[in-house]
Formats: sequence, C-alpha cells, structure tokens
Amino acid sequence: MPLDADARHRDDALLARFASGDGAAARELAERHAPRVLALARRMLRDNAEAEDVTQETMLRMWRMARDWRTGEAALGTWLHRVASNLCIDRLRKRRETSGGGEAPDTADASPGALEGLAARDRAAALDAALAELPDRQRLAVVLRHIEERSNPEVAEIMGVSVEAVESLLGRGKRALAARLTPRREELGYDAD
Amino acid sequence: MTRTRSDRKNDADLAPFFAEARRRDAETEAPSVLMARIMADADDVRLAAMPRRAARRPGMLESLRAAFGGWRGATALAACAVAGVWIGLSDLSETATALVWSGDAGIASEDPVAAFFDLAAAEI
Repeated sequence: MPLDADARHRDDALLARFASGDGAAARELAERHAPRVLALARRMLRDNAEAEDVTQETMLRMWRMARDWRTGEAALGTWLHRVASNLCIDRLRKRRETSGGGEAPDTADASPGALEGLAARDRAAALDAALAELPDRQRLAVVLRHIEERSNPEVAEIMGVSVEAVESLLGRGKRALAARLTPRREELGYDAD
Repeated sequence: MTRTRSDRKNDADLAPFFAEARRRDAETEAPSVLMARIMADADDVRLAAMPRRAARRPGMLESLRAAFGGWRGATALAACAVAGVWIGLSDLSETATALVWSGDAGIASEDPVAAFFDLAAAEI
C-alpha cells in the first residue's frame, strides 16, 4: 500500500476513534498534523503568535467536524491545508485593511528592496523575505507546491481554483522569486552560473 | 502550460532554496503551549459530544422525591399519610381519648372537648 494511502487510512481511523471519544487519538492527530499546519501558517503570516492562533483554529475545526468526516472522500491533510490557507488569507486581508495598505501587485517585477537588510548568508530568511513580497495567492501556491510538495491538483483543491490557475500562479510566483533570489545565489552560498 | 527555457532555469535556481525550506519545516515542532491549547480544545469537543447525565430528564419518581426534599422528606410524608388514614378509620372517641391522655386517668374523659379544658385548668 502506498505511503499516502497508508497515511489517509491512519487519519481516517484516528478521526473515527476521536469521534467515539478516544482522547489518545486526538493526541496522535495533533502530533501528525499541527507542525505542518504551523509551518504553513508561519510562512504565510510571518508572525508566530498569529500562526499559532491559525493552527489552533484549524485543529479546532477538525475536532468539530470529526463526527461528520466521510472516510475515503478526501485526504485530511488536504482538508487541513485548505482550512489553514483560508484562515491565513483572511488574516492577511484584515491586516491590510487595518494598516490601510493594498495587496502587492500581482506582477513579477516588484522591487527586491526588502532583501537589502537581510544577513548575507541566511538563505531561509532570504526565501521568506522574497515570498513575503509575492501576492498572497502566488505565495500560497508556491509554498504548497514547492515546500509542502503537494501536486498541482492538490494545490488546486486546497485553493479552490483550477489546475490551470495554479500553473499560472506558480509561473508568475517563481519568476518573481527568481528575479529576487538568483542574483543573490553566490552571496547566499550557492554556486552562481 | 508550456515551460520555457527561462522557466526551467528559474526552477533550477530556486530548487536549493526550496530544499532548504523543506529541511527546516521537517524540523518544525509545535510548541508545547500550543499543543496544550490544541488538546484542551479536543477535550472540550470530545466531552461535549458525550452523553451527559445532567441533561437526562428525571423520571416521575425522581421528580416526586425531589419535590418533597429527598427520601427523608418523602418518608415522613408517607408516615403522616398512613397515620391520617389510621385515625380516619379508627373510632373517633377512642382516638380522641388516646390523643388527650396525659398519664392522669382522672383528666381524660370520653368527651375530648371537655377533656381539653380540664387539662388546661389542671396545668394552671
């Protein structure tokens, strides 16, 4: 049995056990999924406290829907990422409304100014800063596809768009990232071409 | 979507950045405080879904018992009721004599009303 199918069966079984009152199943579900949800939320929000709130809210929604979960219909990981993604996008939208700023333009030629102040060899910080300059949906698509390693159809399901729309978001997102990061490859310790 | 040579170069340039991010994410652990919050939510949801004794409607016997102040109150009430029935079924004059008897055979009489006044006078 493939690993993915194994994981899905395990998740389905754990949800069923939780729904019938098994507290140990809750612990295992939280340990399996909370870290990945947290990593996604941190990368999207760049704020630990908000990322933890989103993780808790996502897991709470999972506890509440456990009794209604239909075994075999969807992957729990995909469902959780969809919930977390929507919560992150909502928070980013509210953050912009509160600060009065608009969303970054959905283009590939934004200024790489935010990278200037970063430590020279901090690759992770460089990627995070470059991702932060992307429009929310481009960032989400890139994170889900290339860091979470979801397939394009899975990304489409999580984001509620077509596979073609995902490919378009990924293409623009990666062009924008490359424009910011490729010139810094040597500085960040990667071999320059 | 057709991938251009430029797209392939971008993928190659970005690959080590993504690999670094995946490696970092693999080491991500949820802080213990967050896990405690998550587990508290799970317990709340789990316990709320379990059948609750307090929510069950009490039966008729339980309602009566509660209305009369528990088993002791209900027992006292039942004893009084039995005594009332016994008094009602017994001969009235015998009952009245028995009720006013004070240990002094001279005070008790067959007339309960007169006996009451006799008893009052004796007390003064």
